Amino acid sequence: MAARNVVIGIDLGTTNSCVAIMENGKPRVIENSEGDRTTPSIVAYTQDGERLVGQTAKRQMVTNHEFTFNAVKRLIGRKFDDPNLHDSHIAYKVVRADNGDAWVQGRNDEKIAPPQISALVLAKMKKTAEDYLGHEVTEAVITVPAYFNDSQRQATKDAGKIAGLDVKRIINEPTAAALAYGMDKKSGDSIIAVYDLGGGTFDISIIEIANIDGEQQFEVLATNGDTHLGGEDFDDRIIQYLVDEFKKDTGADLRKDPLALQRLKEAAEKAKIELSSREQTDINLPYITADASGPKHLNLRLTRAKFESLVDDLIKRTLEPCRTALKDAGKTTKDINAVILVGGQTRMPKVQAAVEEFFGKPPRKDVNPDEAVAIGAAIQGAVLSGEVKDILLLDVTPLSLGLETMGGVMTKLIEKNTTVPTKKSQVFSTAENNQTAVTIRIFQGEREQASANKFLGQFDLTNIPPSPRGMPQIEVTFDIDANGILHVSAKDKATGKEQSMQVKASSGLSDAEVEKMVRDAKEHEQEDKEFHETVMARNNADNLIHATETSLKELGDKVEPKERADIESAMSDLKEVIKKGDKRVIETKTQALSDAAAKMSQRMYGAGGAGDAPHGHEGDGSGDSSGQGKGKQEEVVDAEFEEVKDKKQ
Amino acid sequence: MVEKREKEAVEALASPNDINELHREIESLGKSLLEAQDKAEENWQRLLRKEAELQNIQRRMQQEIDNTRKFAIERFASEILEVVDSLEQGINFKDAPEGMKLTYSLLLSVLAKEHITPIEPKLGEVFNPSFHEAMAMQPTAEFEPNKIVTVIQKGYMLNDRLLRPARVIVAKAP
Repeated sequence: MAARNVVIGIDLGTTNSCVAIMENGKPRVIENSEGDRTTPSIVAYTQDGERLVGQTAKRQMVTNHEFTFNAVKRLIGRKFDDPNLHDSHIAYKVVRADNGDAWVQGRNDEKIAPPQISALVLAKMKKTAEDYLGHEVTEAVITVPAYFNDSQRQATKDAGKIAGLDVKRIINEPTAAALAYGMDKKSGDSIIAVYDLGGGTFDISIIEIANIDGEQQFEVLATNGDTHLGGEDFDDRIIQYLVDEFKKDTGADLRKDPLALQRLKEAAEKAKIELSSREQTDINLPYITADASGPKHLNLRLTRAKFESLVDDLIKRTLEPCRTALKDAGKTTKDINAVILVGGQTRMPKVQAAVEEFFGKPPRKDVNPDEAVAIGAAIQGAVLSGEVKDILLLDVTPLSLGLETMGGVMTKLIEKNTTVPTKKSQVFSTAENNQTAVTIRIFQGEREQASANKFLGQFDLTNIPPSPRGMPQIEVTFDIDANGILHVSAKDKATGKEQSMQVKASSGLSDAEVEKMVRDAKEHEQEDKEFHETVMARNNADNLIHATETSLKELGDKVEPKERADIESAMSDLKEVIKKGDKRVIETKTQALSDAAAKMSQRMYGAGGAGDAPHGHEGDGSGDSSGQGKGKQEEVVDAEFEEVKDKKQ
Repeated sequence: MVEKREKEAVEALASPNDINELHREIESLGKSLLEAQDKAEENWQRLLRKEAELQNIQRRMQQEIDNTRKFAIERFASEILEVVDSLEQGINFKDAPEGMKLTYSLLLSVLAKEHITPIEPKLGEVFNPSFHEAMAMQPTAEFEPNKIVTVIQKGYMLNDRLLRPARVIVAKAP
């Protein structure tokens, strides 16, 4: 049975690329074989004729400047004579192709087209998706900057084709981001500003989402930006600061030491990230360098305020393009309905504050800014493959459903927020010896004490063959169907006898009641915990008493009179306190009985005797399944079940 | 609902004048049947797809869990490398206390236990970007081009994944 064709979403970035898919309606970024969620957009042709892609290509860049092709996005679809083409970041040779396009020079003097290079990156993203999905991927949505012209878009599509991908659509990066933020879910028209501050570039786009013929259409009104402004520049400011401070203190220039510089770079990036959530951070680099007088350490405190002052001009530099973009779009900040953030550097609080100040409203930042574009592409892919139509929005049960067990405890069978339809079974048993019927009392809510929850109904299962408590196996099943109706059934596994009842969806609670109950549960959490523990203690004590009584009876004369007297006295003590209910006292008396009966139980084990040996405390979790609610000792007439109607309905 | 129709059909048979009505009834039922069959087929296909998707997702989840287990300490491991680096630098000084050297050994053995192992290329070894990162090139006659001249910083593996590449200087022709 073939899986549906998955259309993957690829953010083909200048420095890094990212691939995402929709998995049953939820977007998911896929890690590559190295465990990274993004892959450097770098391709290298080595001396041995190997082609490296991603991190491995990046790592050998220094040894192979001429034939390591990075930032190919700056070339793709452009002519050799394009005035925008002068880039100091490019160390390889750009050559003129026969058709006038900008190509690059390969190892054997051959000319390589940029789509061929990008195709290798896309192929790696394709493989990443295939490894995860476990099947072939042939279709994709790829994103491009909003300012890309037809030639650049076509070249990107060609790159996809070379990589073996049928590019279903090329979409704009700001549009993809808007999709990731669910901007298409709103009704009516809106104007969105997309502020994208990534690793190496800054882009601002003003897009309009309009409802045309029932469909949401995206139009880019204006774009602007700075192709050489990004997170790396922010890192550089910190590095410079550290180098300067260290020189002031020690006279040493850390830039001359490649290891020191490397450590500084990593420390700077780490500090930058920490300052997004802390007011200050310590940069601690012991043994950063050494001179004639011995080892030197770098230990500096960097405050958020200081960092902000170091990069203030960089942040301000992003605002002018915003002004221009608004002007070109013919809009003012008042016309902007929402601002969304893309790119890792937008995590910085000062950046967010600057954006808020400029646009006059707080930006949306709830989607991972490094992944928003890939996620948007994946969403678009899912729409194109028809997967989105197939996703049913299912309900969830707002509150837990369960029944009342021994001690008045609410034993949940279906946890709250479980998607329905759903079915859950659990085996219960009797609480007393020779109990021939059980009452199933159904409750809805989060409180530990069943009676504190909403009672939904009850019914009896009768004619259970008499047996010692805990022996019968009563399987209780809670089944909520697609219409929200709860069916509860109880079946005696020995006899096959079954009884059940239905609870209609409407006999539950209103939204307001649900919220109140969830709040109540939180407020009473401590109280409920103690209640639960007390019941556990009581049940444990009860079990121990029962088992001890059974053993005493079975061993008969084998138990010495003094021992028997001790045990019986401990047992009656315990029976006393069970009624009164202090958890700690119960536990103490339980332990006392356990100790008194210890010798006897050893003998039980030694003799290989039948029946339960008395056991002490059970773990919190395990005690739940045993024990069942109110029992009837004598013959019972088949009971009718009654449904309790909610007075409020 | 079905009972009612059957009743009608039986009654219709009883009076042969209503044979046209009977035909119409059959036609209408036929249409409903076809619609119901189409719908059933559509639902069946949808069910199959969902089943397949469910199985796929289960498989992927299991893979995720396995990976998580294997690489759970990845972040922590990356962070602790800084400490290892610092200690390493420290023990090279002549006044480094004996205890510090022992602590460093202890740290390395703890790391090894957690499957974090160092990458220490030898000088003259071929540069391999799968495990090494070239920081600079150095013209030299001592080593052939593309061989490692200096190891600036050790690298580390976590299980079979690269935690940090060894940072090296690579030879180039003089």
